[in-house]
Amino acid sequence: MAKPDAKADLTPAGQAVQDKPGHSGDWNSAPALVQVKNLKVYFPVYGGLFRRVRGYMRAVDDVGFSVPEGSTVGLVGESGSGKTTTGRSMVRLVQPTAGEILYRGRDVVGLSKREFFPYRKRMQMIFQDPFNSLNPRMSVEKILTEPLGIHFPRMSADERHMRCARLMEMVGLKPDQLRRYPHEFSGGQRQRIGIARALAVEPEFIICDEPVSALDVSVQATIINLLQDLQEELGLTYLFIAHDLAVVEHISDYVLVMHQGRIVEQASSEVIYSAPQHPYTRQLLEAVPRL
Amino acid sequence: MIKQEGTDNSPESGSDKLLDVRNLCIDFQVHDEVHRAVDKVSFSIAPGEVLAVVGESGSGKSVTGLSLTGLLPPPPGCRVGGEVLYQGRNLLECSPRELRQYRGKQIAYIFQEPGTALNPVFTIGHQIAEAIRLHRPGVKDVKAEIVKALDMVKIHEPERRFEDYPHQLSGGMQQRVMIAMALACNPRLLVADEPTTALDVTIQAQIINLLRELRERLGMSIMLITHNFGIVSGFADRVAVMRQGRILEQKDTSGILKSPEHPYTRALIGCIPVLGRKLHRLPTIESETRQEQEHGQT
Amino acid sequence: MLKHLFKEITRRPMGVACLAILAALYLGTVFSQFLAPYLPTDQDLSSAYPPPTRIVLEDWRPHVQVYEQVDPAAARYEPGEGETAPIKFFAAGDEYRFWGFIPAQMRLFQVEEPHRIYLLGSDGTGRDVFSRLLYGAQVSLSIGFIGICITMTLGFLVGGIAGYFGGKTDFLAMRLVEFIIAVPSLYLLIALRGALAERFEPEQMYLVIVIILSLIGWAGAARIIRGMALSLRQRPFVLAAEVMGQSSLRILFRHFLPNLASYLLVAATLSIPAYILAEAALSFLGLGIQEPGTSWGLMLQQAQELKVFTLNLWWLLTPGAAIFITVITFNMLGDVLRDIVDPRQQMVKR
Repeated sequence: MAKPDAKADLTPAGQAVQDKPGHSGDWNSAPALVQVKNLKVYFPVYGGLFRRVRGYMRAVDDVGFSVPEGSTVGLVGESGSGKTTTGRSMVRLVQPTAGEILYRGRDVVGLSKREFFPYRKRMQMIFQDPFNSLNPRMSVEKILTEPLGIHFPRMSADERHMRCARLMEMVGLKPDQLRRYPHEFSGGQRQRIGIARALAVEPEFIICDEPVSALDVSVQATIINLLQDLQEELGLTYLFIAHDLAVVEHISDYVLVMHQGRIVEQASSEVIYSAPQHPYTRQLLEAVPRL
Repeated sequence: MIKQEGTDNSPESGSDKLLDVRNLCIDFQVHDEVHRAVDKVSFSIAPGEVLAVVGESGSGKSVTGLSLTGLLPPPPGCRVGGEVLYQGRNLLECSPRELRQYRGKQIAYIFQEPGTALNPVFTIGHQIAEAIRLHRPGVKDVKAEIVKALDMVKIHEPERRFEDYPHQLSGGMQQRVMIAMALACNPRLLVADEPTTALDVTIQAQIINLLRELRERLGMSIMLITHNFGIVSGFADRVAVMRQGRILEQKDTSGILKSPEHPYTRALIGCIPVLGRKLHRLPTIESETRQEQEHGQT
Repeated sequence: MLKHLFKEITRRPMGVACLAILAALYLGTVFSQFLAPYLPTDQDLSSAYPPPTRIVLEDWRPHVQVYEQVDPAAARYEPGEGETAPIKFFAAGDEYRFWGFIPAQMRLFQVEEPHRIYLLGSDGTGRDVFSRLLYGAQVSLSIGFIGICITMTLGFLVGGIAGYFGGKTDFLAMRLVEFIIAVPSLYLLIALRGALAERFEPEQMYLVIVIILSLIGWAGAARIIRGMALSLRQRPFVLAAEVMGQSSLRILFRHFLPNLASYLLVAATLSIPAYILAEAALSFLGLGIQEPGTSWGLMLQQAQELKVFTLNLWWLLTPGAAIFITVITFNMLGDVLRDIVDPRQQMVKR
């Protein structure tokens, strides 16, 4: 699988010039924070009387890409394309069958649970479904202090409370809402709480798994803006997973198109939009509604 | 972009309205508080016309759709006022039995989550057959009708497919089956409540194309309820923008997209990411946080 | 959550009624030593099967009617004309140890010896049925509580762990569950009870019964909880906890337990009657609580005699009524709880 470095031709003439401050220039000028090489995730398919393994479902099949520090890499594909599995395998929610995931050059796939623990602080995840991603039985404060208790065990109760209040402000919520429970918030607000939870441990890299797909378009825009503001403020690196190419193209510096477990095309978002190579990418582009 | 076949769909020609909603008010009673979900909403749909009702969640758009055929909970939990004139007959005054004649036969529905709207223990053929038998008892060859219905929504190999159970189909396929069920009785009006929201963008486009084709072929009217202006263009003839239970603006689609009058409409259109338009920030609805606050409390 | 549940229960007349009955029953159990005029073992061999004592007012003070035995064989008693004894409230009686350790004499009401007060009559050896009912409730009502605590704890741990870890753990746990469910439980109970009887004092038998009942009962709960845990496991908030590096045990207790709590509560409320009935059945068969202890089942066993029916000694069947009321109340409360918990789950979903 071609490494992104191989496709360095990124600013074709006549294209819209990237005007995101802080990310001007080549997407790959920054060193890679995360590199995925030949990642394979196969799920056994059981069958027969004794539940023998009959075959394998190749959810992710030989996928490679790299995520430069401080950038946003978009991962698009339809449901079942393996994009969520790719994201999940990076934070060990799914065990890869083969391949390497290099975090700052160190392969984290083979690490033991204890060795991997420090990486849990560096990599975080935001989930799609704002109705299910927060424990309905926990108050917002409890939701936000949970990661603090794990990664900052020496923090005092006061410090934790202060940090929670600060997190709420960062995601545009009021600190006095900390005592409320998830069902008292709207979908967009819950997604903000989910973002705050991910930010609590001061991560470097956040995997956003369809963070806006379940939201109204109007709320979608505010969440996307929030993610971009946070990236500028905190220097975060994102892997942004979505099925909507328009959203991905908007937020990402670099886009990976995934289809049936493989990456069929990867290029900067301008190139993807102006000169799509793979027929599937073209299909995705055509599906985006035009006003 | 829309091929207007035959009939003149201009909304002004008052006499040939299929559906005419006047001063519709819907109140919900939660504990001891009365919450007005829909406030004096008026709109009409001509035969063969596609009206899009666009609004954010909580704007009252779905409730409006459900109220047409009495699908809301009965009083005192919910009260509906005003008039819903379907071919001149006020549906709000109909008895439940009369309403059932309209529901499905005249006015059909498709909803957001096809997965939950289909019964998981019956084959899709069985479920379509049920709809046909219920509304068109005269039909002899039900199987042929099912095949015809599945064929209409472009499900390949309908003879084999109708033995499938809902879980064997993808989300897009399930929504096609829902459409087939809704259309099995040749309704005059299809109320599509967020038909594509739960689907991938590619599938979304396919479903909208399918609805557009079916509209042209069958000449039915569609009331499309959505939060996304993106799927409105190229499909709807007219758009009504709803917010907090009121219709802010009602216009033909190209007009509203080109020159939206209300700032809210402008914001709703602006917040959609557009390919190739690289903006540093997406425009948002300024009062969004305040509004969300309100939703959060209801 | 408990606060919310309580508020919802009190909003329903049926819920309030059930709570009131249960509160009365359990208060009676807790203060049985104070409420009961006699010890469960106090005998009065001079009279067998006296009927419930009539209470009369004299000078606006309650007195008990004094009876004379007319026919010992037929257990017939005649009230003695004008013979009464005053009821003394908060009076000292025989010494007892309150809750097993506080020495006390005070009782709610007493009658001067040699007269006796039988609110619900007495049995063949002159033991007060009312007192024995109160003491018996200590066994019959607590057995369900303790049993269900063990059952639900085991069920949650095994089911939760199986559902959370999946794979081989799940496989092993579920085979164990199937094994236990397949064991013929009544036979096991009788056999274990028979084998253990010699090694335990009658008082300890109570614990043995609870443990046997709950060791059999947890399997069904574990299977249901495992199913719920399997679906919880895929919920994003559990995934989020994993991504942040939360330990498995904490995920089990902080994320699974609160979300299963409503189910556990409903299931527990609905299964308590099973324990009460099982104790009653065992004691009735002579395999449960033994003399000189007392329980409702044991009391019913003693009411088996033909005499009870031929002489219409209805008061000896009051333990049956007590069991009936308790079981019905628990079942109705369970239904109320389920009504509260279920629609809420639907609301949360969307």
